[in-house]
Amino acid sequence: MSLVVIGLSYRTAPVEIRDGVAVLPQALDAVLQYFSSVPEIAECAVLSTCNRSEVYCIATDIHAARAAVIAGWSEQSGLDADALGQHLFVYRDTEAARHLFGVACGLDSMVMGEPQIAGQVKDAGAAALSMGTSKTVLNRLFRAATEVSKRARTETEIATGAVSVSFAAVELAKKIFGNLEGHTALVLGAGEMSELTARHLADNGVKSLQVTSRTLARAQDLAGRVGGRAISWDDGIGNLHNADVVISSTSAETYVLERPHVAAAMQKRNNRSMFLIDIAMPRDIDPAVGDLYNVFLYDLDDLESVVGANLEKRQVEADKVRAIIKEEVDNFSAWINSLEVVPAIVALRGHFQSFMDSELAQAKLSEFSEDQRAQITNLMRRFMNKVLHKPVTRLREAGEEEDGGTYVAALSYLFDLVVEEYHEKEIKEVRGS
Amino acid sequence: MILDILLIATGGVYIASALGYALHFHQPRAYWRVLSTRGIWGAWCMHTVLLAVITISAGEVPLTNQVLPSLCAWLVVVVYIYLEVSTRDRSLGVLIVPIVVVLHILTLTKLLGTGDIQVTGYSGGWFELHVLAYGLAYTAFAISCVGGVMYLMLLSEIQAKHLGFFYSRLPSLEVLNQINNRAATFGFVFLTGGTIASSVWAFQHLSQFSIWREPVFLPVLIAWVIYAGNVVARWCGGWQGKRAAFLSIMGFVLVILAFPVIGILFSGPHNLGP
Repeated sequence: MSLVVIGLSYRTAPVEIRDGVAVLPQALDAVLQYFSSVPEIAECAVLSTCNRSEVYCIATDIHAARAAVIAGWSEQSGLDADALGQHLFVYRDTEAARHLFGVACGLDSMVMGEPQIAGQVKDAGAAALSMGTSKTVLNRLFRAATEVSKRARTETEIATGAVSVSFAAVELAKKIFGNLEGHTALVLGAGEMSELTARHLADNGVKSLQVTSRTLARAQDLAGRVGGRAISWDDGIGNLHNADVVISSTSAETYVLERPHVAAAMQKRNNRSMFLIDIAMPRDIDPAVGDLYNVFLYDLDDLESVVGANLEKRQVEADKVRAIIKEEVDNFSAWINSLEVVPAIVALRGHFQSFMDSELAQAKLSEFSEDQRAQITNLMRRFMNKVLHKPVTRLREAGEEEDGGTYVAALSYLFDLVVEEYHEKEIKEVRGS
Repeated sequence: MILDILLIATGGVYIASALGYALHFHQPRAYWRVLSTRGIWGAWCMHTVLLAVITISAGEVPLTNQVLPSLCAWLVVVVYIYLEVSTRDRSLGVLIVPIVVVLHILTLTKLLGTGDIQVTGYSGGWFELHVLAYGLAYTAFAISCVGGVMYLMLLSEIQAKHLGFFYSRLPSLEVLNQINNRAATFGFVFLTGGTIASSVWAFQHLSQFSIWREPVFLPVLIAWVIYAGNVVARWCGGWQGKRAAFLSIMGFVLVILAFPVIGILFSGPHNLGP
């Protein structure tokens, strides 16, 4: 049995293929059932996002599992199986675990460290668990992946700092004003970039979002889309002092806001902080405005350099995340290795139990009372447990250190044990004991 | 003996907590968070027991130079714990808890091994009111100063457009400005109240000659003028943010520098104790 992941992602497949094999949430149960019905697949879970589709499984035959995945996706998407096969990646055992942990931490995402993927990994594990297609190993794997992503986010700065211009602008606004809920934003111009930033501001709960453009109809159009209020250009510029955040993205060729104008607005607002975001090219706001007291002016270059610095920082943090992943992969591998010795432990216990049962059967216990017989049986059981405690503990430790097989072979030889592959019930029995 | 053990143990836990805050600020980790927050709670509880033991031994709350730093430290911790619980932000602790450690060490140097707790010998509600109000005022000024320092650190990064260490660790400028504003205003109110209380008490108990020779008279007057100007500039002159932060830092530095110098150079009612 091997842990294996068969999948494709934006790194290996173009968007048409990714779209074809993507699993919609409403189809996930059927897809899980399909893969779990493959005889060579003992457990399975499916992770499907817009950037990747991956099938995690415990397979008795990796090639058969790969073929089953290709066949399933080919049938679902109508794509040629050979063509699909060229875009697939396959990782097994520790590499599969390392891959999932990396995915959960956002190391394999288009935007490194993006946080949504952690939730998607968790959901994939939960869906497989609720459908009963994942069992001991995959359940443990997905739980570990969720834990690793939590560690990565709390112990490193992999997910900190905005990585898009519009997010960086909103993050800065929050760093200046704290909660944006009581604040007013003014959008000058109805360009695409200002729409995106305005939308983020609206999502962060700004109290009032006013949109103005030299063409009122365009302002009304944008205001309708972002949930703001359109006002005339003159009203917008005239009421500048009411705005805490100003986003400017007009196509004007000269400055729309000059220093004396903003200085007058600052005086009117009693020098309360004002954040001006100039994302126009050429610039809309005179850079000298940034020298005014309590005025914060960021232009497109400034915001892009913030984003660049954040991305660089995430690259540096990625090394720390990889160290965490290595640690967790080692833990997971130790646990997987310990499974190897589980059947031997079960067989050894069974062997001693059968001895005990046969000895008790031969002993003439009928002359004892029922209580006394129970006491003798308990005594024998306690004796057996004490005798087996040390060897079983050592065997588990050996299993975690990857040389369990040698001890299993020795035990089988010494006690003439018949050791089979593990199954769910045995793992539960042994872990329970 | 118990007093010495409590003094050392409380100081030790405060130092551990200060280390926790510094390490958590540098590199946020769950274990540093636990060390810092549990440390400050634990140290505060021990500090409370310490003050109770001192009060029982002296037979009254000893409002002398020997114990006043400890009382101020205790009040600073109360306010800080309130801030941490209400804002869920630990960054202020990196500067506030070291102030507490310094105040505690001041007490430790005066109390450790002496077993002799001095009392003021003064009585009357105005006297206690004056000491309590000044204690609260200096606590508020310390917090206002910390808010101001942090405001300037964050502002320098935002204005330089180089968002780095402080940007990712400190609360927003608005929050820091509010802490600075509110603490300075509260401090000013308590300073005014304390000054009125002390004046009433002094006119009742001291001769006019000794009142005007009182060495803390001048620094208190200067501190009052600075903080009055600070409060007026904030609420009426639009001195928000950077200028307000500078005023708070200046005011606190003056208070901190003035009182030990006066304590060393002069004697008088503020060389309290027998």
